[in-house]
Amino acid sequence: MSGKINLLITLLIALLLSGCWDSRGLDKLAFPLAGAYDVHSHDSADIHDPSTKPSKNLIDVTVLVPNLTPKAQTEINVETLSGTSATDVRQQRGLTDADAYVIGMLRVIIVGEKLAERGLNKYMDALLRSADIPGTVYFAVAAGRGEDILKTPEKNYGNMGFFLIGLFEGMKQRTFVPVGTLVDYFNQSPGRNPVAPILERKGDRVIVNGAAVFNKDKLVQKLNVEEGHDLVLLRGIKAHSYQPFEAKHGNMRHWGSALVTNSRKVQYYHDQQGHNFMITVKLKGVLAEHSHSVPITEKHIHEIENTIEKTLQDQFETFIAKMQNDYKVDCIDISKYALAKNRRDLEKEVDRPEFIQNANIQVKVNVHLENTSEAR
Amino acid sequence: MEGRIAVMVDGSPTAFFLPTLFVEFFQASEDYFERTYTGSFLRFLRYLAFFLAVSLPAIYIALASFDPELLPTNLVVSLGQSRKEVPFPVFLEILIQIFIIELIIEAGLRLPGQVGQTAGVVAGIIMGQAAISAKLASPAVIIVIAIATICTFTLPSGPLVQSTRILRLPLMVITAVFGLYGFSLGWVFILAHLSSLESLGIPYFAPFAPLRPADLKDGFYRTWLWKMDQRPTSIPTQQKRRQGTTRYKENEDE
Amino acid sequence: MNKSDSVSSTQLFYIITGAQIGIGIFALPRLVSAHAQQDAWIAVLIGALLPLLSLFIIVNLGRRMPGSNFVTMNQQLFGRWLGTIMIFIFIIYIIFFESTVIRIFSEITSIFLLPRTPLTVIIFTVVLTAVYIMNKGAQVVARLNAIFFWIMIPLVFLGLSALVHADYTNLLPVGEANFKALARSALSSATSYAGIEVLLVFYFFIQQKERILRVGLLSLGWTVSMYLLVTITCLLIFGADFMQMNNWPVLTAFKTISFALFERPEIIALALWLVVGIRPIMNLGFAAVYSLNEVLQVNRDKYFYLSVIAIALPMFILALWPQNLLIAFKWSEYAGYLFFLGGLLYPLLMLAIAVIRKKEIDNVG
Repeated sequence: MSGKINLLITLLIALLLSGCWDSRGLDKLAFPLAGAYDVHSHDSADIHDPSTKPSKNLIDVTVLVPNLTPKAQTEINVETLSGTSATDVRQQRGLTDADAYVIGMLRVIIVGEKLAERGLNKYMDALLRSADIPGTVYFAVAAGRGEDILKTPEKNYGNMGFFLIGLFEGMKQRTFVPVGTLVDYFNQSPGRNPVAPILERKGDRVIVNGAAVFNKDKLVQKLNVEEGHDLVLLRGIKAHSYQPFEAKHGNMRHWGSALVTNSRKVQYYHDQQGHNFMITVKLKGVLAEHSHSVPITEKHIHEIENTIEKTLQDQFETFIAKMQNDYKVDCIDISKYALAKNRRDLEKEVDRPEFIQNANIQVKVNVHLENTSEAR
Repeated sequence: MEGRIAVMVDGSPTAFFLPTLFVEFFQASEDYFERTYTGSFLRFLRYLAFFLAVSLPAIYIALASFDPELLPTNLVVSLGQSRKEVPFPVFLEILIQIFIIELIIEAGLRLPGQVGQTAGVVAGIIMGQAAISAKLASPAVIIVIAIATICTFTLPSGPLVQSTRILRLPLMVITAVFGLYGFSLGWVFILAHLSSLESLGIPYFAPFAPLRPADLKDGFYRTWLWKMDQRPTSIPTQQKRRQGTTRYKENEDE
Repeated sequence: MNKSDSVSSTQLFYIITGAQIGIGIFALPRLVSAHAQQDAWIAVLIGALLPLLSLFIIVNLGRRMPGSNFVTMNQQLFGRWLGTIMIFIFIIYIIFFESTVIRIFSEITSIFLLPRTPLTVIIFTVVLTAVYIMNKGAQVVARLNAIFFWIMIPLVFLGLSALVHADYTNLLPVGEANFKALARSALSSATSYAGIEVLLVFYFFIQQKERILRVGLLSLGWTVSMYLLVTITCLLIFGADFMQMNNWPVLTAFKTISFALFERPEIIALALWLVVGIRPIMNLGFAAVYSLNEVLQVNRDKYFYLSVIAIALPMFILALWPQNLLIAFKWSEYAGYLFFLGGLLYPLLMLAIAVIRKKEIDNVG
């Protein structure tokens, strides 16, 4: 009796295991490394593509896929399709592509400038909702169209996808640019506004050319590289790079740079005049380059430190003035300190432009150079 | 002997111990000649080898057919390129290679003496290369199978090798159907089965389950000889101390 | 009681933590921070009072009735017929509770690991595994709990590495939530401590009864620490607002980390989570199976598997019933509220009757 039941159970199990529903052979997959979202433009999509339904708000989705077939003519395949939403385009790819797309391999998402100005949340929801996409996907804004960035031919680095991944991965160790991932973008709780680097195609190269400031999901301002530098230091994104300085000392002009790591502290207090923030930016590092060939004394190092402090102070104050009067959005992530004191009352207020406009923000810079490296 | 019963049968060249514990299959006598760190390292190696020997083909199936996202991006691209040339699905590819290796091993056993060993090595290398050139297998599969087979050779006891070879196959099947989830499901079944076995009334999987930390010192890693002065608590004995000389820490330096 | 049913008090630690920490831990941060916001961790602590109370009641109850097991205890306290009915109600409660656990577990597996596999098949594999394990007796269940516990430890460390994204301002200011919000969140957190009632049945498997209270407190302490860790980590990384957007913040937290070798640790975490998620099912399931077996006086050696199937089959059918995930969540909420009845009121009732009828029982027993 027991033997027969065992047999029955084994047969039942064998029957149920007979369908491998989720297995997908590696050879039938395509791995998009990077994707770009843009507003629709008539020249971008291939004329042979399936006709999209006529609709006012179309977006273009470009993906960059390395070609796995050994005898393929090109190493990568960059394709643009138009649709009403990201998933609409995914469905259309089923009509043109032989391989299934593994969305989970995406590493970089680039958003075109004009699309970012419209507000991204409605287009990027598929990325948040999909269980496949990791949170560590890098996020950037393109000056112009994202499609152009992906279609730039890349000679030195394999393909544009690997180039972009490599670019973002080490960025914090090389320069003061705000690099963020999708998780940083999607976290738009009260008081938080994402920032992203700006990629620009110059001729046949793609370079990072500044930072983008968002008000929740809308792009409000593009900053150039120097302003992006200030943004990173004020926002407290830990990075490691060169801070140049220049000073007049009598008739002599010194210049050089220091290799520093930055950090910041923010103090907040609230009084009758309103919200007061005191930001202290600390730079700690070593002297990297100096135009003067005389051995440096302690006094000299202090002077260099003071020079840097003063230059940065002026830069920061200009930046903050612009932030309060022009952009009117908290891009340096200080509202969270106000919320830390009084979350319930301020939750609704911090996102209003008046909050940052009327806040009293002061900056202090503190530079500490530990040594002069090898040379004196 | 740690208080066990030995059974020797007239006419048979082998003897065995009762009660048997799972960890015994990982203990080799030369472990005790080494110092504790070397001995422990060898133990860990054997456990790792056992795990890999059973699981590696299944892990490959899970990664290649279900979740390529787990692999680093560069690896996936090159793996995909090599897979594109092979006409079989992943499961079939691995199954074919496993059977080829098993046949080579068995053939090596049957052939006499030197011929057997050479045939085994040569067949392995050449057939592996030939399979890749004929696009019957991708290089990754050959590596996976080779490592898994080498891991079975690391295990010190014959019966364990046999069961490892057999155990891979159901694990592969269930991974081929359910992916990584199936892999952990398979291991749950294996662990459940191991935990329920009893040898002469003693739980087979002790000291892992029920967890007896005192026995882990010879089970999972090999501790200093001067600490190994008690018999394993899993074996019911009347005398708790080991017979024979065990070193005392106070007398000698390590 | 079979020899194969004796459980040591150390194993009880693994059993209780196994019965409590299951799939619920994934959604826990979201549920508790819904009302209490950044004070969610306080709610987690307050909620722990409930199982603590339960623990004391059950241990006290067990002390008053030495030598009887769960079934005879019910029959002595409530009389034969009412006692049997109470046991059946308890069994049905466990069946319902575990079916919601099975359902949610399968849904998570389906969403993250196996999108195209039919849900029925996934649920079937879970139930099949539970049946296989429960069939082997309490000893095996206890041993497996111990093994699975230690497999979970590296996962915890893996998850902690996500703390590189931590932002301490997300926890401030402390103590802002008003009493009502804290109470509602504490209610949600209390329901996630369900599983302590497994002690009602397992109490009688343990030889050294005087250690039970200590072990119970230790295991509760461990569960509370785990829940606190998870809640605080998710709060630090995301903040209370963003968490509401994710169904399972713990999994999203795993998504934020990426190493050189494991580019997607959340998939590994999920593959290992079967090991953690099956524990409540097999622990409480075994409790139900054993009670059913004793009540019906079925021959342990020959027909135990029939009791197992009698419990597993309704679990399987009930797990399939909700039509979508949102309904399944609702069911799981109800099951959580039922925990107040089954885990607190039921032992309390039994204790009250035991105290009242103390003289009668002393004379009889």
